[in-house]
Amino acid sequence: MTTQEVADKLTSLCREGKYQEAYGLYADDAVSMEMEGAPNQVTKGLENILKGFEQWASNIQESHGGTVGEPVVVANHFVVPMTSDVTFKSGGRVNMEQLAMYQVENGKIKKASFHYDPSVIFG
Amino acid sequence: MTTQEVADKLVGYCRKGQFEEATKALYHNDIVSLEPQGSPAVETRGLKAVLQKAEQFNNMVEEMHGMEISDPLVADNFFSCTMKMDVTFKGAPRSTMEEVCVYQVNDGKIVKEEFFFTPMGPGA
Repeated sequence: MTTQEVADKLTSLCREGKYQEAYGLYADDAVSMEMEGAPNQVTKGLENILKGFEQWASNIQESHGGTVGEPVVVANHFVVPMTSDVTFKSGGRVNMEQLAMYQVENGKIKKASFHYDPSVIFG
Repeated sequence: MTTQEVADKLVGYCRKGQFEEATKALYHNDIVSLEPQGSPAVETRGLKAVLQKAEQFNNMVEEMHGMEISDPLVADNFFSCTMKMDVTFKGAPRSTMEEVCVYQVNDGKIVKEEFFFTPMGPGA
């Protein structure tokens, strides 16, 4: 798959809420990076990334909505603006925006990094 | 300035080739500039060092034939734009470089910039 195809597939799966399938686009040795100040700043390997996602999902009481923007592709990178509006089980409702950056190698996502203000979520 | 205003300003400066003006006007003194592993300058800290890095880059350029900068995408206090350069570096054939840039804004100033591209290997 080209970077554009991976980008289109990822955004359409995320828009449909098919996150597990979206992770199928990741390489087994993918690396996922959160902002400094967030827990688990660097997660290595798809298995650990999936565990991290499940942990994140299990903290959410209700998802009120969110948006996944159009990907912008340059060579083997693409960036997607995303918003989410969720209420955590711990109580707080959070509206957050982020830029998700992906690096593609051999048709798979090799690296993901998320750019946002961690204080919005983690206080 | 809002993030959108900073983003529009930066893109405006860069489209005119006014990189130094952009840096001086919009960057925080404690700017952190990040490039991919394998680049000559993976992490540069401070406005002075970032300006020096820009000067070093300019010194490597034989001729800049053209540059294309996308409209910025803004999310909260981050924005991203793409840059495409058609450039001849000294002693090298003419080449096209493309990258995605992500900027973090705090209190109306750019505090972090990160460039995403695949560094050229020797002889690439």
